[in-house]
Amino acid sequence: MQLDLPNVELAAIAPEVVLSLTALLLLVFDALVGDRIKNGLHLPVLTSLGLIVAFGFAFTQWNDLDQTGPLMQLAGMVVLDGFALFVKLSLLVFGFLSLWLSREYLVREKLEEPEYYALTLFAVAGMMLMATASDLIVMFIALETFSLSLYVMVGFRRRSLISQEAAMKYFLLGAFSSAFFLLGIALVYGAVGSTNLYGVAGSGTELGMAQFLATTTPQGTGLLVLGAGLLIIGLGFKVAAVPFHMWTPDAYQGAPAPVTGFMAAGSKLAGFAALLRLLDVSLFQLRGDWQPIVIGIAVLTMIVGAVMAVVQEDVKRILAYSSIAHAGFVFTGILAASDRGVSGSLFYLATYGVTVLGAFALVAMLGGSEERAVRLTDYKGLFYRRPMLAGALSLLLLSLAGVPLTSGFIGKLVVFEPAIEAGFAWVVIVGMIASAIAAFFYLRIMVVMYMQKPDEGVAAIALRPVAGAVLALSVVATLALGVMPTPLLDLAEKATIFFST
Amino acid sequence: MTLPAYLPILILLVLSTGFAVFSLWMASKISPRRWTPAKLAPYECGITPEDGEEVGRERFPVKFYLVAMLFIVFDIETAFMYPWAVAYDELKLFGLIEMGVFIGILLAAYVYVWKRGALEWAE
Amino acid sequence: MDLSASLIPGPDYMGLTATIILWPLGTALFLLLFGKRLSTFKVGGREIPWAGVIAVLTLLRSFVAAVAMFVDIVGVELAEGAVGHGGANVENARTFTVHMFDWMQVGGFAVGADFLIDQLSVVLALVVTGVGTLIALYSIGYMHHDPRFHRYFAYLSLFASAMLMLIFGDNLLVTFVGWEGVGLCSYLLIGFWFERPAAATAAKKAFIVNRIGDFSFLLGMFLLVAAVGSLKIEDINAAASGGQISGGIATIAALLLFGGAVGKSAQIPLYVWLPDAMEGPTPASALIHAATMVTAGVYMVARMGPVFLASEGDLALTVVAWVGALTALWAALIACTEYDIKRVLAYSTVSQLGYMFLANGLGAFSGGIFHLITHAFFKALMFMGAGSVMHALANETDMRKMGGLRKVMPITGATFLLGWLAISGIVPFAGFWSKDAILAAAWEQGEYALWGIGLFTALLTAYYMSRLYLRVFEGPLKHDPDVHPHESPWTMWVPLAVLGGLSVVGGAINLPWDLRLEHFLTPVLGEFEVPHGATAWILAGVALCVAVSGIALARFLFLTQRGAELRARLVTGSWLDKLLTASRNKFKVDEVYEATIQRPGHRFAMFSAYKVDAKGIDGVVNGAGALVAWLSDGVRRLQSGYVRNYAALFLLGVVVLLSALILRVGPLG
Repeated sequence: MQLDLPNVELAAIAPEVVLSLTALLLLVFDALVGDRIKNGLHLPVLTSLGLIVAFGFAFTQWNDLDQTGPLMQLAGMVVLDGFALFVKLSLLVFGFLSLWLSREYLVREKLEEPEYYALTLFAVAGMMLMATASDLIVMFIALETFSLSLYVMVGFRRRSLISQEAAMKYFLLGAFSSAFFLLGIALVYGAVGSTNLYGVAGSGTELGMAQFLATTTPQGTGLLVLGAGLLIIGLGFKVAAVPFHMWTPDAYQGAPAPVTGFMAAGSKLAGFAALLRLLDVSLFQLRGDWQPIVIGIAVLTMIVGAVMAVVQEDVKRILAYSSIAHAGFVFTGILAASDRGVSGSLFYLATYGVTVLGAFALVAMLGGSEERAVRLTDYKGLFYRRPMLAGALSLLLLSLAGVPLTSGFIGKLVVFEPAIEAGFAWVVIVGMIASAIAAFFYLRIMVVMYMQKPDEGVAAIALRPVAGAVLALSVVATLALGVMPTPLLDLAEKATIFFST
Repeated sequence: MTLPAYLPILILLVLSTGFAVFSLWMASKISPRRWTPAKLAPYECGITPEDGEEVGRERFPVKFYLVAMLFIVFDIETAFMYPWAVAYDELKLFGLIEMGVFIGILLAAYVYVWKRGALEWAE
Repeated sequence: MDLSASLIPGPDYMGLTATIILWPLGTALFLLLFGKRLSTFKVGGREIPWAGVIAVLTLLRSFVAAVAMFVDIVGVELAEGAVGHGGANVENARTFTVHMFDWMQVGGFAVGADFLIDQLSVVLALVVTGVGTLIALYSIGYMHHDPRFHRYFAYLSLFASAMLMLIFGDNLLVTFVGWEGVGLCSYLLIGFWFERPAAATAAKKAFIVNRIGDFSFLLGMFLLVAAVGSLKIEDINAAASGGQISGGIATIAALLLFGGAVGKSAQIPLYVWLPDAMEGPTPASALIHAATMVTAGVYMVARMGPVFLASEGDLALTVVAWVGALTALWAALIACTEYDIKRVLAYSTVSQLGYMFLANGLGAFSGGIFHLITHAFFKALMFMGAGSVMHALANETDMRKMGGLRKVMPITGATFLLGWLAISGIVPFAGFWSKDAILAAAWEQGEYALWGIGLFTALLTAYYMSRLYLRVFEGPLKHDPDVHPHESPWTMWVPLAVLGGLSVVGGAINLPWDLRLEHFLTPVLGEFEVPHGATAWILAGVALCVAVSGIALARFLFLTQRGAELRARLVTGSWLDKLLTASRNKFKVDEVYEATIQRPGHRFAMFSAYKVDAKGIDGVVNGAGALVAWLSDGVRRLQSGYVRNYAALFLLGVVVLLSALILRVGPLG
């Protein structure tokens, strides 16, 4: 027997490796000497350090891209291209913002434990792997890595039954959806004879999806289409697409607010990254087959998300349904199946992530001890109690509503425009109706904040400097990217450099 | 098109879906319901059981599960080592390094578990 | 064609544009952040808050910059030796594009933060900043008791900035930013006194109705992008007049844009929000809901004129003309019976906006703009006059409790008189010239039906305005004895006097024999035919007679003994009584909307409210909202909280998706 030993180019996944090692180090270090450190500041600092080093590696790879061009590495398991690295860098930024926005919350709720930070790191690593994976098996591992981390993080408020139940529901349904994803992989393997998205150069037997499609006749793709459908289901669950979205409101409401923000930003970006690579690159030639499915999902997701948010009374639930609607908007970008659709979707996801992280961080701050004050009525007259916080939240909400001069408006523009170009004008019209409906419930929150008197005797909210600074950063980014989106749009354009065979 | 070949499947699909939908619909029509706000909340965690309450069956420590799970983790480690050992000659240094990484990760987990007190039976 | 400013040693357009738009924006931000800490100072025993002074000075600064810009543009035109008589086919030498920065660029699709300076935008900027300055000055007196004084001025400045962005927008996206911005400020100002439930409700109503219009506007914008590949207004207009857009597409795009205008400018069927918007502070009503924001739709239609002209068989323009004419008539009818002084003025605004759309629909775009300008003068004047009256009578708005106020408030009374004569169309006041121009254009084009409606509306206008003026300012004093009416402070009457003067002489900018404004705007808006010679004189004479009869009728009914008896007789039982009652109930349009849109949704929502939760619906009182809530409630039942149900729905989705795919791909293998 002769084994073909792969060439392990570990440098290709250096950022992921760094994050995982940091997480391990964190756990062991804290288990050994954690008791002796009083304020616990070592946890976020160490985590940040890991994130920064990983960012450094990813950034170097991004810069090297101009010389090396897109690469396929680790025996065809991962690709390093503009797309993967754009997503990775965005995810690292999300991780960093989320980390410092969570800390105050964790301290307040007496939940600051090394596990939270380690899980954040594992989740970010898994999400990054989603974007860079060029093999469905790796993609599945990545999916499970970040999903398992999130299941635990959702249930991190251990004393809260709601948090426990949310984690349970998310876990059960997540396992359910993973099964479909796996079945999809099996069908793809049955059709193609490989689980690779591209095909490994130099190995005659391993075809890969893209190569398979280049050589096969249209009649031979049936099984692959079915497999793709199942993969869409599995990933659609992660990005909260209707009708696979049912977990979202419950999980978002039950989870600690910073975790909710992280989930909304990170798992959407990761899930959509996989969908974008799968559909707009590997299965580009089958777009005639998957576009009807994506249209259905996009339309349902936009409408259900927007409509359902209207009657919610819990701010976290409102934002949960809003995140569903946003997933629908991104689907219109995928639908276009063009470079501009891809860059538009990436821009959308990156800016949405920053905005929603800030929004949930504010919800966490305003929620008070044990998140008791998260109902709409708790926001009465917020403007008169904390004008700056109310102002910040309003700006973030305006961006989510897609009001001009915020990043949300540009985001909608750059996903809708390619979809129109590609001839899906009516889907865009549905999207615009959905965003018109959505404006209503964002407005409701603002009406409550500005146009109602505060109740007597509501406790004041303290804003710590670090969280305040990070929050200001996300607000400023939301505004700045609405006024001057060009730099990020240029980066997103570079992100359409895909690996191709 | 050989669609007719799939017609029975389609019919079966429609019938089974229809039956499921019909049963659910009937159930919702004929079952009595008295809604209360608590029943309508999207959570069903119920009331926290109190210590004195008769639960009806014997409860045993959650530690059993913990130990069982830890056992499985380290059991799989061993299971994973068998094929590695069998193919050791072919895998050469590469295999050794990979196994080193694997064991290293599990070691970290072991230290963590130990130090966090998961192996202590009594408080 | 951009011949660029290098030809002439003109001023720095970039700097001027920045001054005009950004100063109010900066002031708004400053007042929002630090306004609370600003103190007051005393002039002649009156407390004057710094916040107001800053706002007034900022707007004055913008106005001065706009004047400089205007002077320069006029000068350039003279230097070129082309005083507009050349007609629309002459290249407009005086169009400048100010490029602030690249807003965004995706592939070949680029949008800049660009501003278009030409005759049209400069003229409107003059109106907005000029009237805005006067109204801000007035507001210092009017709002001085209000605890949220600084916030009011912040909103007002923000509004001015957004409105100017709308006007100067070089592409539809910049215009849309302004469009949304003015909507936001309007919403904030309507709900300014949100402690009153009516104000909060009115604000929400304005918001929702405007969303419908904005949605239509956005659709039109997207359609034009798809058809032309550019958002630049000049490109779109060039493509439309060059025939690169098919007539059908142009019709749809024009009607969608008009849909936006209908929302913003309160035309049938979306006018219902404007009368309710009177819950806002009166000076804000004067600026936003009379002089400027509501005319944004008129401006936009005129600006996008070529798209409307490119419409198949002039369908789009016909629709605009008829909607305008019918709105003018409809609102005038309602205004005849309203007793609330501000609501009369609101319906009058809706009616006058209808005139402007009528002009646009006739292709007489500069006629519409002319009326826009004169209307800004006299309607702002009358709103502020009404505010002055309310100020004197402890916020009374019911005209039945007013009378004879000219004696106690001579300046307010005299200036209001000028506004009244102007809107009624009496020679030589401003309104006569602009209204006459529109009616003459209708006659010349052979649209006798539209002319007739316009003329009849002019009669009604003269009547209801005289009714208002006579009830409030003439006759015996009627107010409550414990109220002591007094003339307003100088900050309030100075703006009134200035606008009063403009209401008298404002028509001089476009007298029928030299048409100065029209010629000035011709390179942008094109020309339109007006009658000449005897026809012109006869038409003007008819219009004047109609106006005089309207006034005479009102005078007879409201100032003479016999008139009062006649009124008493008429309002019992006759068909006229029914008509009046119907009008007084605003022809039950609100009720119809409520019954068709709001109530079904609302009832369903209430029906299930106890299931949803006790307070689930109370925030959703508006029609569109309740409709959505109704839908939402249906879907919400699926969100039961049970994992098994979630999984079942998930599975259903899987089954549907896979069935669709299996049917699509056919047999496998």
